[in-house]
Amino acid sequence: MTENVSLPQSTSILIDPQLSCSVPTKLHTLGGILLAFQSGVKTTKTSLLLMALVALFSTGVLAQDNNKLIAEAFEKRVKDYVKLREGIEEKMPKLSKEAKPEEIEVHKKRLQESVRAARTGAKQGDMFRPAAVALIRAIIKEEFKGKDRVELRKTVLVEAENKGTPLRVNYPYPETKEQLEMAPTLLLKLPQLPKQIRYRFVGDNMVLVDRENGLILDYMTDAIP
Amino acid sequence: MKRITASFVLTILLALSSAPSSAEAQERSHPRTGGNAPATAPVKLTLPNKDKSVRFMVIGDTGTGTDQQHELAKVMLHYRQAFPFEFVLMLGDNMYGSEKTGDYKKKFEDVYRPLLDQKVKFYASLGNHDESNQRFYGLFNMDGQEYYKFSKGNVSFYSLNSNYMDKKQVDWLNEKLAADTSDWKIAYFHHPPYSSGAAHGSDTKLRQIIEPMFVRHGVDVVFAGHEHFYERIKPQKGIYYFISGSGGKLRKGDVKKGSALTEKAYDRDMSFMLIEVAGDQMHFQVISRTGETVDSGVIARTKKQARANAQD
Repeated sequence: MTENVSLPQSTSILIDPQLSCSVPTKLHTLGGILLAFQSGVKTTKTSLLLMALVALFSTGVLAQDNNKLIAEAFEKRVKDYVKLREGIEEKMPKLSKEAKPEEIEVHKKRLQESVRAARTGAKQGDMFRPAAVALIRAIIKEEFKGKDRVELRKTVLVEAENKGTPLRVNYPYPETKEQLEMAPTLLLKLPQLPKQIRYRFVGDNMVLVDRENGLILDYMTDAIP
Repeated sequence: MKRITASFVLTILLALSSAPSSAEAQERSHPRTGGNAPATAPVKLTLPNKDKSVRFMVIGDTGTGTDQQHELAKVMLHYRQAFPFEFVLMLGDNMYGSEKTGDYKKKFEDVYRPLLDQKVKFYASLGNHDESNQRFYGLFNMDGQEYYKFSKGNVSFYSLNSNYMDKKQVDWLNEKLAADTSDWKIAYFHHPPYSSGAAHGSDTKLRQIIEPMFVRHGVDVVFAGHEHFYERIKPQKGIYYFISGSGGKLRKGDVKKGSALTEKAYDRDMSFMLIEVAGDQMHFQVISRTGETVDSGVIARTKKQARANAQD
């Protein structure tokens, strides 16, 4: 179950059901402020304007708080994966910093197989839940406007060599396909990921990939505005 | 016994007479590289080749394993006889396509085997065609890191991962640069913040994040690849930007004619760069697959002096 909240500038976000307990509290506080204001002050044009400003400000704060909670919930889901993966890796021989190609290949394959086995049943949407998807779409849309958006679409949807790559959760991203650069300005705004996990654009999708075993953890569609 | 001694002395004399002097070594011509390979021009070094200078080579977008990459590697080897560079900066796309054990051999080790045998060290950065696991490959000297710093003489080198410049990397770079007291600060990575390439062009989103840091902390020179040609950019905010991305692939004619960014460009054949940092000067020479010098020059380090003067 999700709930839509209207925001200033006609944007809207979805509230993650995990976070629903915090939202009524804030709505209640906002209502309280407004009621108190109404009862104590004679209704004039000025007071109406002040009320509108308080309402707008409070709604903005509410939206920011909610986005933060959505991001944190998403980050936690990714961290849970990393915890699982680290547990598996700890039991494997450690890869040296001066490894030979065959050692790198064997390590990657072993890690891939073990993690896949431990995550049987993983499916699309496990990490990218609707609220996170809406938030990430909104961040990308905000980051790429005008000329930047045209450039992004050209790079990702036209020029990229990885655009037709088939996506399957818990399967490896093909190593022969390029790993499209992620704009640093976007990475600074998206929910932060542990160092082992990467965002990656593949066609119109945003994908979560494990940088060491190459597994696709999850993906969301319609990521490109 | 006398005959043996005489023939031994003669052999030594012949060997000595056939060994070129350093001047000859810089002027001699070299045999064809074989097959359909173009003839290579004589080695003509424009670098000062001073004692105790920091000498290195810069290559980008190399990982193909093609005949052309081998031909360019032979020119590198010829030049190393005249200019004994100690190490190599790799600007990413070290491995196109698959990255199996055989690929490391075919696309890197076989190509640069003579340089590796001469103990030349390669310091790699990652491109959009490279898997993160390359950071564990011993011959890339990345110490298990996607971004890292090392020093040679009075020069600090920052190998960055422009493919994924996240907050952790930005914070690391800021911190390292702020604490760095080296005379020269050189950054190298795959995507060019400035470029006149028709196919890709300047990476403005990357530039937005890294350029203010470079300016604030006095980075002198930046090397990037990604574009399969050579370009020397007109200095931007006091920083010298070079693109050297035709070490294994070439995008012929891709540099936009009349670009306001270009100081010098070469997109007719593959190329590599030789660099010598001697005191406050950085000399560079760019050499094509046919052994022609396509660009050369010297950069003087002035920014830190200017800053010190301003503080006085």
